[in-house]
Amino acid sequence: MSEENFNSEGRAADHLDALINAAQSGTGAPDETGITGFVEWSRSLRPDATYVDDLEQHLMALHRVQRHARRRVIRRAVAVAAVIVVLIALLILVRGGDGTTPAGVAPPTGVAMSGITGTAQAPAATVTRIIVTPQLPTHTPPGTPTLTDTPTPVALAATGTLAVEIDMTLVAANYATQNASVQLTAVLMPPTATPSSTATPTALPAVASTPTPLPSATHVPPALDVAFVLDTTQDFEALRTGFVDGLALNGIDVRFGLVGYDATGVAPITDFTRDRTAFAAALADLPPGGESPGALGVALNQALDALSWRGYPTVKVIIVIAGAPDRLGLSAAARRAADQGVTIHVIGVGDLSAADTEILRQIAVISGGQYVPLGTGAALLDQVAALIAESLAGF
Amino acid sequence: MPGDATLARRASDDPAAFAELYRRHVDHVYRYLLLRTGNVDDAQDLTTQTFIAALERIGSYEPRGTFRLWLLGIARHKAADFFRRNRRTVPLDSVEMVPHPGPLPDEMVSQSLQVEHVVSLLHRLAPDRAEALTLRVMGELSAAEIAALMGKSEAAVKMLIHRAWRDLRRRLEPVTVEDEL
Repeated sequence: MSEENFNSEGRAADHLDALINAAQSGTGAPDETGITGFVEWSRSLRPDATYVDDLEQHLMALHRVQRHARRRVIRRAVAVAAVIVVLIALLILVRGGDGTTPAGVAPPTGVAMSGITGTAQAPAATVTRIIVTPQLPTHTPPGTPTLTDTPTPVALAATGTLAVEIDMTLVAANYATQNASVQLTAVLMPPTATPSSTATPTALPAVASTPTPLPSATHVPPALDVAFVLDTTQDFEALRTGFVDGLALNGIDVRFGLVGYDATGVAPITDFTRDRTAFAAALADLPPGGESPGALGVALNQALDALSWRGYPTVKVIIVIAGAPDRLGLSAAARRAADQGVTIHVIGVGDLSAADTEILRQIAVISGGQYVPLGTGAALLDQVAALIAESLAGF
Repeated sequence: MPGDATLARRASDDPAAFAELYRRHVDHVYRYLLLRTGNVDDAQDLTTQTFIAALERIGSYEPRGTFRLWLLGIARHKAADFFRRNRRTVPLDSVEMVPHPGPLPDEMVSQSLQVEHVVSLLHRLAPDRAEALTLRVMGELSAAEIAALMGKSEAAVKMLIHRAWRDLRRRLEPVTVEDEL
């Protein structure tokens, strides 16, 4: 039956649709429209097998990354919820003491006391433990005495001064704390060489101390370690030339480290330094890389292992400026960084494919960082500054 | 063998389920994108983007249509983004004359010429017709599914496909593969 025999175009369209169905279900035969041959030809167009396998591996790696990220989010949400519940419970507990807060007094969250000293009025003895009793002002519910055992018994001379370092926060002092103090009681044990002497414990006199308010986070310049991991096959001239003056981080104890890399591995590493001029010189001296894709996974592991990161409460950041990466070991390196409390921010450079961009973005996501594509000219420094500010904001 | 909807429900937590969905549909997505772009590299790049996007959204997938419909909907958006970003600098009439970047086996050359030729002809059709025919033949969607995707009636989609094939066939006839070789 020829197409002209159909008395309407609609019926011809239905007929063509049926022929396509038959061809796609494998029951079609060569027909007057030629559509069966077209369908069969279309089915001969298959993607390259290596590409299909590579993409499947890539997707499976991304799947693992996403599951890991989801679990981290859930764990964080649970932790935050738990903290909120505990805080609410404490608030209820504290307010239950007398039920009121003195008018006009902003309730501080706590008070830290340290460096308190007392003088013993006892013969030579060994301090076996120290009892610390909070003395809190009116309107404050009684604090629970905190028992602090000295790590090791302290020998006390007859007229000596016992220095006691106390590092405690009176969470219960959710009221005015200006007059808070502590009483120290030292329980003494006579020297073992004179077992016949009296064993009556002698108390240290009460010693009042002036509480030191907990400094707010804004008053404490945080320590900051920033490692730059640079793909030396890419252009980061703006960073080389403007670094010393361009990155304002006033009042922050910041150190910079440097790891350059290309396809052949990692260039000599510059360990963390506070000297910006020296760091800028190291940047300027970084040899341009040759082959790509750069071994970013190797470079990240080197940054984590070879640089002298400081411990908590230092804010630890890696700024990656990368072109298309070699994907070997990338996810594992990013997970290591996350486990070590290091945030990786990534600035993508050059002609990146969608897959490369996605990989770089995932590296940032795993460690709680951000991915941004490279701006032009001086914008690179701005991007670096913004990413560092992002990390400091969460401190 | 579980169906697509079952696999899709498990896929956000089960990598094997997502891998199975990928293997079932990668050919259709690739063919569709190959006929949209006419270029293997671009088709591979967009196929990669499509499946990465699918992986990111699989947790929110709701089986209102078939999984392939959902997937090709993503591919369609990726192709549209691609054409917005990459304004063609090579006139479509000269597509057949663009030299291939390197030597290829005879069979692949033959196939490449056919793809480029068909794509060049598809680009000369009305966009709706070319899109409907490509989704129907390369994506192997039904007319009803394409109707849902394009926001048209099923009858209108069948008409678009019919007219697209009529126009394409008319242009294909003078230049067969045998003529080119």
